[in-house]
Amino acid sequence: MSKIVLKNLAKHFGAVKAVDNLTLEIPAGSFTTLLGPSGCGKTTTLRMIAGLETPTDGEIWIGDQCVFSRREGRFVPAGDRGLGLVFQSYALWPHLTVFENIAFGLKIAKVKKAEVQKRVEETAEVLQIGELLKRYPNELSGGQQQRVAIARVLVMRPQVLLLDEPLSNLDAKLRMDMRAELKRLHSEMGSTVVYVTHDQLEALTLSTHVAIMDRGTLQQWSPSMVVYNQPANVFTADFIGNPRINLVQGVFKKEQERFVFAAPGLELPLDVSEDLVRLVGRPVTLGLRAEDFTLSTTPAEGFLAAEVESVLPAGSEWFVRVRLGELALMTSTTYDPQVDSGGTLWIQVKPEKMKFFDEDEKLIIGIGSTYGRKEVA
Amino acid sequence: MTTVGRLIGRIRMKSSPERLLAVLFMIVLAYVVFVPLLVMLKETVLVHPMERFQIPGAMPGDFTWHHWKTVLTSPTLVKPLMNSLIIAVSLGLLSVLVGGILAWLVVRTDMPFKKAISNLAMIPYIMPSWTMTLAWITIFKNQRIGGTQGIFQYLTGIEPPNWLAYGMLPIIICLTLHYFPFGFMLIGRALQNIDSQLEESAELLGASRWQNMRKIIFPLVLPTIFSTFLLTFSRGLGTFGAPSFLGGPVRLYVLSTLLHSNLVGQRTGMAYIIALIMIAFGVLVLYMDSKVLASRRSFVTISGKSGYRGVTSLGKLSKPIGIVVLALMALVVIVPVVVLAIDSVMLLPGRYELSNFSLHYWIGPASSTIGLGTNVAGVLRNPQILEAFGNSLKLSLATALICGTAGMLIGYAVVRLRGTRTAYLLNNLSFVPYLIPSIAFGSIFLALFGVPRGPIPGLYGTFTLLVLACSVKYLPYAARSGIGAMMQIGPELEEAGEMAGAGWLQRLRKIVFPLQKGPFFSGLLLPFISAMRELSLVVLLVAPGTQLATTITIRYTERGWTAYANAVMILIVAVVLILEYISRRLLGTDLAKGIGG
Repeated sequence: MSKIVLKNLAKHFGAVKAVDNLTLEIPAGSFTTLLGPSGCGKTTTLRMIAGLETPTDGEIWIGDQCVFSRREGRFVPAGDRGLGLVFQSYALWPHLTVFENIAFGLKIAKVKKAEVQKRVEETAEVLQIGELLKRYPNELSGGQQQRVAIARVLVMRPQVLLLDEPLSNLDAKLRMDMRAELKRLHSEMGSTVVYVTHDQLEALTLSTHVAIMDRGTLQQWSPSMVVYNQPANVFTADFIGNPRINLVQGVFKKEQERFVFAAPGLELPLDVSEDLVRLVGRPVTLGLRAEDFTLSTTPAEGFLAAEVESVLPAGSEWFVRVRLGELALMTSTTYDPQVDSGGTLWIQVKPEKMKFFDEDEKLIIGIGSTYGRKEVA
Repeated sequence: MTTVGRLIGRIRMKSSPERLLAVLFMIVLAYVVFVPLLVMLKETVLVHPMERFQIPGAMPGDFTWHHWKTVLTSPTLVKPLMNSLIIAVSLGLLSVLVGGILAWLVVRTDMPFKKAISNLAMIPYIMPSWTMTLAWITIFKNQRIGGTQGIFQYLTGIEPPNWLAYGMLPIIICLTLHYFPFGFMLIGRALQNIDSQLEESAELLGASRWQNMRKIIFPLVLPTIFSTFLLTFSRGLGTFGAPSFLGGPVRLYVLSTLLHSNLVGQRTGMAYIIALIMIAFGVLVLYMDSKVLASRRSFVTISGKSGYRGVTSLGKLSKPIGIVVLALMALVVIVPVVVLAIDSVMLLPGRYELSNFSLHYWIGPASSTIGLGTNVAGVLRNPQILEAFGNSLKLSLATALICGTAGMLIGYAVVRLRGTRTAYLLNNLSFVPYLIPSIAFGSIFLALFGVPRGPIPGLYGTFTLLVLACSVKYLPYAARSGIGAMMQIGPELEEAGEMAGAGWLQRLRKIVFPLQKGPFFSGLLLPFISAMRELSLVVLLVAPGTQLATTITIRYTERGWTAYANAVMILIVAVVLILEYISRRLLGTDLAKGIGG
């Protein structure tokens, strides 16, 4: 169990900055996810931690040991960092049996034969692949290969376990099982896990901490539920959540001692603290998730009439796309709205769920009652 | 941290084994490809010992523009250059035409016997390039130049005219029959790789088969056709065997034969100017080909997801066409071998009768009374020929091993460094020997290693020189197949080993090599066969002690003892074909994959 510290880490490929000035402290024993769209630098970051990629600049610490420092000229090779890495493609050696695959690292480390046998069998037992030891990788299913790949890494008892999109090659059902399995392993092993994925749902369900990256820079670093409720900027808000968050461009106005957010088709009265007066007249972006609306089938006080564009039932909930003047909004409800395309619904925005973003800085503006004034790092 | 430790850390960060490998190979390749160019340039402006009397008042070693002036002002070079270009262009066009039609028939029509035809079509390329040439001479030779009659005259009583027996026409025909498999293979593969969805879309939009062919397939294959033309063109320019055997008797000179006679006559300056001209053509071809390749990459897509491929029905003609094509292929393969075999068992040349049958030139003793009275023992008991044959085998084996290993390592470095400038450079550099005409390449090695240079001793007349020349010349094949093989194993397999603490050598030994065993051994085949049948490249480099099976045939042909030469050819063809067969059976190798990059 070790913490991992990245200080001003950078990796440039020519003019392309794959990772730029990344500073991050991953707590010991945490399950941290590096999350972002493809090309955001998450895998590069993981590979730098692993020692497979040499950073252009910065420092990497694992536990109390500095494993990389450009300034000091220090570079600890991958094999000496006490890490395990599970590859996206599993990278099982096709010419070796499952046993030989798992035993490879132990043999390199010159562990005694009896000990190798014992540890491989133990690990195989934990991952429930005890019967597969004599088989070759191409005789295994995707899920079994996945387990072998994890066993091969766990048998070395690594301080830190790195996983590079390990579930992306599995079908949806198997993926759900493996998530539960990974969570069980994490609590049993207690080692620090760094997990790379582009799947936000996976990130939210698995991890204790999430680092969201985009184009090589860190966008947000917080416990996993915080990123959903308090996105640090428009990118994070837009990236997390399915369906996508509604982003409404508008301006802050003050009308007769009342603050108002005004957008074409939408005007929302607000209850804000006095020091936000400086923002009056400024353009802002309002972020509203589908569940941030209250829907009504009949007209009601404070509700706006909206034209229904389409209704998408999803089993446990219904997604309804509505139109308010020029504005198209995705809303959701947990009961059947009993309306068809072309019909009318009445909607209200839950005031405590409004997320405002400054047009230039993209930082959240502390506003609304529940999240009032809370700045998110 | 100490300064030394810091330095080591710095170096470790920057260097990786694949980078070191790449740099090493680049240095070696640059040395064997570019340094000789400078040496040759220098030689073209020096007076050589044999030229003292042609250049009044000059001493050997003096600086002179004599050679360049001669080339630029006198017509000595114009005719051979034109001849070479005519041959090369015709060869390029014919290879595209014959190979292309054959490829279309095999890949895109319902012609029967496809498998047999495509197997047969590769054989002419595997045989030595001048097998066809020797067979041609045996059939069509006439007596105007002296010597005996050929099979044609024996059978018909008509003496073949000079234009049929020797010169341009037979050279072009023989070379085409040798190189058309090139076109067949390259164009065939391009036709196969066209995503059938492209055709299906056109079809759904109402395009007829013929429109599809003209508007979709042809434009997509056009870059390959152009590339095939360039590659065979460059082969035609560098080839030595056919123009030497068929051009010599009618004083038809091409660049390669002129280069050879100048070097033999110790007119080194002239020889190297010719070599430089040939290299200039090679570089031009490389440049043009890379342009074509760059454009090709942009639009040929390979998906192969759909099993459907547009097959044109030949209707009633399908069977007759199949039979004709099969017969033609069989003819091209069998006739030359049979002709050479018959000629080698005729005691007196020119009389193709049963009574004249004799195995004298195969197993007879040295005699001055039997047959031609050559006083040379039959091929199978002639120590000189057997030694040459042994040399050929040794050379092929050494070349194959060196090429195979180097090719794998280059493949490793290029694939691991993919996307970097180093990989790009190494990849292109390893392809350069392919495009330097063989005989010019031989003269490069003569220039480079003929005399001691720095720490490298003079290697002229040594076996090492032959191995070196062949290894570098065939490196492009090996590098191509090495890159192809390495592409198959993702970097993660090795990185997983790295994570487990395995060092580079351990990873090579435990992961990379076990996975590449198959490709490695099958990759040995092409360099082996190429070295076994090589003539153009080694003809300048052999010395009395290092004669090869191929070069010794020239000596016998020159003396008019074709029976010996033909017998040796049969042996070479046999070795090459048997080897190809065995490795196809045992390793499942497909030569077609390695040719042409």
